[in-house]
Amino acid sequence: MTRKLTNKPLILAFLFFITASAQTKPKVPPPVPQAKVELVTTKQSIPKNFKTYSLFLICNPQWLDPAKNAGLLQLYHQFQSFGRAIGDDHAAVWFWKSNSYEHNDAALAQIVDVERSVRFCQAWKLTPSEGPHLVITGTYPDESHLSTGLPKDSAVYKLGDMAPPDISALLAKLTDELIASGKVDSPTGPPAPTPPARLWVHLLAATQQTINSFGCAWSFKINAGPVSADLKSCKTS
Amino acid sequence: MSISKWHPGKLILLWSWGGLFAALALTQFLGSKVESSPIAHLVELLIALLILLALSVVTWKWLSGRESN
Repeated sequence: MTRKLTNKPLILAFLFFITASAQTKPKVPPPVPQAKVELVTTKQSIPKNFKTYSLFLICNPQWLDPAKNAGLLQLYHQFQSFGRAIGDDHAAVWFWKSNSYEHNDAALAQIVDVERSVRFCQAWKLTPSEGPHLVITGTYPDESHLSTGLPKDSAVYKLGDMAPPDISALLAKLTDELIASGKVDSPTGPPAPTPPARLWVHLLAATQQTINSFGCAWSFKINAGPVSADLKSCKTS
Repeated sequence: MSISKWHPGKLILLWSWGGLFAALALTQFLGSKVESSPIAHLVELLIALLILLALSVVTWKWLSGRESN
């Protein structure tokens, strides 16, 4: 009995150690998607499990001119800031061939993975001269199934004719929309051309115009001494 | 369509109602642009024209052969 009581603190200490070691066991955190994605090699695929994918596509050969390096670098920095600002649920993708972009901007144009961008531009029917393009889509851009075309829930922005401040403003607006609603509105381009009206519609419109003009052609006047009235069919402004 | 006894009051009644509906249809036709709804405008114009045409036919038929005293 005496021996049993003596061993009791030892047993309690052992149990405490086991419990404490079980509690302090390091847990593996779930993989958290990164907001900013920079694909540096052609072998890397676009990561999945993001709400939206913002792809920066450079298919315009003018942007590969070494003289454009400064502009390209500025564009990249703008996009980089955009990728950081849109949060962890949204991916910003820029295709590089190598990871030396931050150190050597003289060869910046050479390390842009144009070939990969061109595959997207061809499949999604984006005009290279209007680029660079920013495509924001809620569907995973599966490079092995590009032939299915541009996903329906996509917005395409043509940055070719935009000045850097305008691009910054656009990216800020897109950031707001992505953060607020998790999606972006389609860019408002020129209104779609209305289909040409048929002949009978033209005739009907002409009839209406004729009747209207005929109705406006008359006026009615009454002049009865102290009382006079002037009735006109149409109010002219 | 036959009429038991001709009376100018009946024609006046018909033309009054017919003119009212034709005017309403024509007002609808002229009230907005044709391009907004071409079919509706076509129907409105046809209604106005058909009412006037029908009244003209009825009047012509009833008055045919009758000579004023």
